[in-house]
Amino acid sequence: MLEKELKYFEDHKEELLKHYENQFVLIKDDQLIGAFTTEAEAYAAGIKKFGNQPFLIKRVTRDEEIVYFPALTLGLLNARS
Amino acid sequence: MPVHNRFFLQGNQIGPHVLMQTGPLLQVEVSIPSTLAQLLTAQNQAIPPPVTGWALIDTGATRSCVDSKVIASLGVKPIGVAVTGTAGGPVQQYRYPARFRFPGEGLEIEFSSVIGVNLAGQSIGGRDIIVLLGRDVLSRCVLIYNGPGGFFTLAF
Repeated sequence: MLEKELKYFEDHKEELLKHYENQFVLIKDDQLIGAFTTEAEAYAAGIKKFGNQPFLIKRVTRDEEIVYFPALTLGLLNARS
Repeated sequence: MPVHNRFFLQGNQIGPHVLMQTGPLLQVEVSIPSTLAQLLTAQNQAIPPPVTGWALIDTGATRSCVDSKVIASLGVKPIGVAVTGTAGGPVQQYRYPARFRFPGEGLEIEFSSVIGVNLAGQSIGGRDIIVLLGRDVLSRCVLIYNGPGGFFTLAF
């Protein structure tokens, strides 16, 4: 899921950074639907337009945030998705 | 700021060992986000009942996460991915919007996104862990872990 949307983001990242840095973009398939101040606003717009379907909401930043769960990293909890 | 003390008992007495063994646990109900609930209501569709289980406060976790099977069972679709650092290198996990309610604390949190991970089989003292509460939640709370006293305090 979301492969097409993630590819669109990567392919257009520089352009998105230029116009929407630190905003949340809503992408469906290979189309940019809009940019929003908060993730919640983007989700509400996505639900309104597409219903309960997968769509991508992503903050436009140059560097990807890496999330850490030491319990997962150390194998104390299962890290598989 | 409401203050909640969660005592861990061994029989009728406070048991510091119980807290040590279980860690700071809270009962939790995982529900669909309210935006999705409104959509389902407008479409005359049934709203799935919340899934109940336990949340472990994990001060080592950057962000909160939910068992991916639990959130998928509610019909919530992913809205993105997060890159998580693991011993085997970076791994992508889906992000989901979700609502957590903590009935014992009267606390409800609407997350624009939490990370879905596989917590299946993670059980502490017969309590199934379906949520890890990370520092995104703790950034809005005061958490005091009293080991000798066998309790923790959460204020928000």
